[in-house]
Amino acid sequence: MSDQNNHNNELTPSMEGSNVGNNNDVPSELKAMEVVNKIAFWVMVLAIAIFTMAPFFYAISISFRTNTQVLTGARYVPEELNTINYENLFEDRNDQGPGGANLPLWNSLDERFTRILFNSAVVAFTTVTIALVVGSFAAYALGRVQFRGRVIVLYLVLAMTMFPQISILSGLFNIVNDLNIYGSQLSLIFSYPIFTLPFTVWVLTSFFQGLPGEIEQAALVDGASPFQTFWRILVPLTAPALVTTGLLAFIAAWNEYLFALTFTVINDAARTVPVEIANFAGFDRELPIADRVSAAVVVTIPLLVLVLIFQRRIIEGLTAGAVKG
Amino acid sequence: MAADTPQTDVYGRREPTSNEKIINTAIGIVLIILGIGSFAALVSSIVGNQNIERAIEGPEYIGLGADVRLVEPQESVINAPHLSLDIASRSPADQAGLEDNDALVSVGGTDIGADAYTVEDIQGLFNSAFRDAVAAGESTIPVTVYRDGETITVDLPVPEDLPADLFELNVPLAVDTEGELGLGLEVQEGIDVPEAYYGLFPESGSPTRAIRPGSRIVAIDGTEITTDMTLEEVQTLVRDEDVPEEEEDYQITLQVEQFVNNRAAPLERTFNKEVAPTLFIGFADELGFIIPILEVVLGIAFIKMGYDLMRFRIGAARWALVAFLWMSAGLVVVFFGVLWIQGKGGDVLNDQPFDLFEGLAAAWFYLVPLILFIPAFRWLGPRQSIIYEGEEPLGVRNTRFAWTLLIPTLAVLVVVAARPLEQTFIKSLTDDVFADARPADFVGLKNYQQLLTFQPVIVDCRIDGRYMVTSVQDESPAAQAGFAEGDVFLSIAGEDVEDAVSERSEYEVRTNEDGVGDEFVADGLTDKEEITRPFNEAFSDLVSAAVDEGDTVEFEVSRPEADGDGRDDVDLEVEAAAVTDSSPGAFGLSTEFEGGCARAPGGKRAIQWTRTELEDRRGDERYEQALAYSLPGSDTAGLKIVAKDPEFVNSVVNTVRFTLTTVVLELIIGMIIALVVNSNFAGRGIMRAAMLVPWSIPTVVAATLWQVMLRPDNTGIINKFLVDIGMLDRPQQWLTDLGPWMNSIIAVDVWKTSPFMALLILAGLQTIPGDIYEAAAVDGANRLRQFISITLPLLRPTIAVALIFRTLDALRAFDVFQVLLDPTRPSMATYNYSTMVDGQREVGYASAVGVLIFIFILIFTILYVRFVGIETDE
Repeated sequence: MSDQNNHNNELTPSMEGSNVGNNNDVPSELKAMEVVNKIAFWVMVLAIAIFTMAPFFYAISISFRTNTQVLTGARYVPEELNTINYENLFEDRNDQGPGGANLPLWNSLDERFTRILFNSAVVAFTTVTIALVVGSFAAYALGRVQFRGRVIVLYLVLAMTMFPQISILSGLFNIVNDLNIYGSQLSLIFSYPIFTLPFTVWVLTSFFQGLPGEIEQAALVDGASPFQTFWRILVPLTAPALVTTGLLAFIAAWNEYLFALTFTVINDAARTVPVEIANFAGFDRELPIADRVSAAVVVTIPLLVLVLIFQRRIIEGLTAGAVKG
Repeated sequence: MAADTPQTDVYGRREPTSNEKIINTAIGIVLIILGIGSFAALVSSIVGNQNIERAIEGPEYIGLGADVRLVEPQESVINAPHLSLDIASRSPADQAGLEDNDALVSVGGTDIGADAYTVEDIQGLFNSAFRDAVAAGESTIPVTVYRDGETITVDLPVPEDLPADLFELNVPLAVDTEGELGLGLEVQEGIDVPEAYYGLFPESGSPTRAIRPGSRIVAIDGTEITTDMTLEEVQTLVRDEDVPEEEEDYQITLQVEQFVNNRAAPLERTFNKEVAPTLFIGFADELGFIIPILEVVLGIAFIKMGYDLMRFRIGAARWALVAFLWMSAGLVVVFFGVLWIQGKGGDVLNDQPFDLFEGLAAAWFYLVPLILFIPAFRWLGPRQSIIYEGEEPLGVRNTRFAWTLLIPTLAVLVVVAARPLEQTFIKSLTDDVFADARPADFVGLKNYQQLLTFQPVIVDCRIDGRYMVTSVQDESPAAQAGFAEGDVFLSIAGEDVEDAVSERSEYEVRTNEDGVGDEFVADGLTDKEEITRPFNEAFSDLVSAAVDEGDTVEFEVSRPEADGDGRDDVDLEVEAAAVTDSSPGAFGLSTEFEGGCARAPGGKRAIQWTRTELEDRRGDERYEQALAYSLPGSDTAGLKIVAKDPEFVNSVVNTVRFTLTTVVLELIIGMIIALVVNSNFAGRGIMRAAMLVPWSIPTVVAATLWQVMLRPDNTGIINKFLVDIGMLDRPQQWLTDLGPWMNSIIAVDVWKTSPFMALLILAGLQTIPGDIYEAAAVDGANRLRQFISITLPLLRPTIAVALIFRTLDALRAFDVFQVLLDPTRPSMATYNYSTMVDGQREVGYASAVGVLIFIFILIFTILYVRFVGIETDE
């Protein structure tokens, strides 16, 4: 498996000795080139790491400072490791004063916090499962089958997601209300396909199109039904695309704000992570940036674990071995 | 051929047996019934629709929906407004038939006289009535009330557990007084009204139903109501039947005095006149067109399918299989949905635990059709190629297979998205306003016309500007020199004003004596101060220099001719000794920059200064300036874009700039990241997780984080960092309109969404077979060559899809603009939001903005599909 990956090394001509041809009789100047390439590659890795992670590390640094400190001066590292924000997140501070502004973000680890995370996870997971199952059917039809009306269907599916969310909000609200699911997680599971489904359909369609036609023909010749060909052969082959699409759609659903805000506004118990964080009024009168950022840091960690688990799958299930030449 | 000894031909086909014929006909009938059901659903949704009914039959209530009568002080119904009841639901009083706002007339046969006006008196009346009833062996007492102009008597049951000593009897009137269940009626006191008046008696369910019957009408729409008016006059006002043709007056303002708690409580409320929508709007709003059309199409399709099935057409049999499959699946989904909702007691917000039986009781119905569908499916399946006739070409079979797979997606699309999308389209053709009494009207393309009308105008700013004297202080050096209002400065102490000002300004300022009208201010200038300050400095410098050097200070001004439109050049002079302070103010002059042209350093862009207030875009057909640019190759000429809705044009330009830049940058950066993490190196897994960090942080939070990082002074980490490493001399204003705000939000967005691009491209890279690279390497192609001729072409479909979805998001960009910028620099989506939510709540207008965003995205998508190349046609 890893053997196949090596062939895709665009930027690291010298990372793998056995990569292309052989370098047993490579002159020494070329070896020097390799060292330079290697250094350049690692510089690139470092640059990417800084690009993506620096603001996150700064967020972590902010999360150990108080609001006042954050708003009055910038520091690369916090003055001290002040865990007040994290305590605020998890401690029951109902007795701190009257009014909603003094309520803690999450009363306690086992109640509010898990509840919100659970909501987000259930909504995102269900949405993505529906999108992947339903979407992969459609994508197979759109990517592998020739039929009339194909282009129109492709654009119709995309048209679902071409309006700004605010435009369709009131129409969607009416439906959600009519179905008696306003205020529940079900309303989010119901409405999220509007942006996850077109995405999965289009991405998977492009991946199905990229598969070599021989696979299907071979399967059909072997007597497999079209459905078996799809389910047993093509779907496993596009596992990287499925996992990628699933991850991207999962995060999009996890982070969705406007629908979640509108449809759960009457029910705290159904709130999702972004709504909870964004609606958090804080403990002081200032912008509760430190509180929000520490909450964001905390909720990003489960997502990262998820990515770490699934990133291996992105690499597996390649078509490379399935069809030669 | 005997029915029970079927013979098969070479294809395995045979004649159906008589049993099969019966079953086949039965299935056909089921399909036809389903088809008819589809039509029935359409008809019932039209017939049972209130909005459509109102559109046809007119409004339910006219005007205030209330009756008017002259209430006389001596009239027996005078009690009506004075002692009215408040009935608790499901209380004994409610069950006996009493209603809210009933006016109490008598209790147990005792009329309520003028002296029985306190609540205690009423309590006493009830107690004695109950005592009398028990003594007489009766189980109810009569209670007479006045309601809707009629006198009604109800029988109120005597409570069962009365005390043994009847004199201790005290049945609480109100519900739940100190734990005891009362009668559930509460008496509200009124006052005695000495004079006759016109009383309002609302119809039940009408807009005014909350007003106490018999309240005194004080004024309607500002017209005072007195007893001098005839009843007809008052009634006309209450009905207010002249339903407006034009946009004004969809409301009636009513002032009344309600008689509560022994005093007259004044109340002023504005009621919306009930006006029926036009039939088109009513229909489009309630049903739309997609679902009715689908119902008709499905109805016809099912009927035809059933008919063809009965004639043993193979196509019908196969379509019937598809229909049964997905209808069963759909019903199962509906079943679970209903099970869940009804299991929670019909209200998902309910805290009550899930009750399986209650859910099943409501949901089982949806599984009933499966009793037919599943056997039909199982029966048809094995027989489809045996007893049904006809040949189907491969194309037809392929098409059916494709549609079979597409049905779930299309079903979700129709259920979730069809109505909202369609409504946006329909609303964009109306002038609907949220929460407004006036019904929406069909206005055609007026909203679009308003949004899209703009025109470029070339202006030459050389003709425009001047520093003009607006006032001269008496007995000041300026007055002494002979300055007058309207003078325009040409030179001060021999120095040309234009040059002197330009030297002292970051901006190049041009002035002209003939200036009229338009004014140009450099990019980012929001304050005229930026233009007047350099003039004041120049004035002070030149005057103080002249005072130091000579006896007099000379000015050259251009002054309007006393008779005529022309101007004269006038030379003025003042004694140097008279000047004690060289600032214009101390000199006795107020000057203002009137018009003129200033250019940003580098001459890239100039914005017109406009003093005209933005007027309501509906009432005003004038054009307002949206944007201005200086033309390349000319010092003075500028391109101005004027529009009917300048803010929208502005938002389009912002959004397109934002989209083009972010998408290109994200593609490049995403590609680099994908290529790097696609390589094999230690820590690759961690890098793959790390690269997704920006994408994983909720956008609302990420935007807030960047807001802090980009703070304009040293408290922003970006400024601190760039100053620390020496890239900036002083902190930069990243987000204000003086700073590089567009680049700042582009940077934020690129950071946030490059991972999306990277992950998609990474997956695309994974599907490229490694053998191709091997072959290329054997052929001697180097890495770059391999990338250009293998990787890029094979990635094209992936890149196209990634570009489409990134562009789609960028054109709808909301969070970064909303959180990081103020509403004067909108994106299309934030402009849409502000017209819909913040502003005049013009739903129709905002919907048109939404549709335009939709069209923009569609154009981009088609371009990508064409030029980047995702195969849509085989």
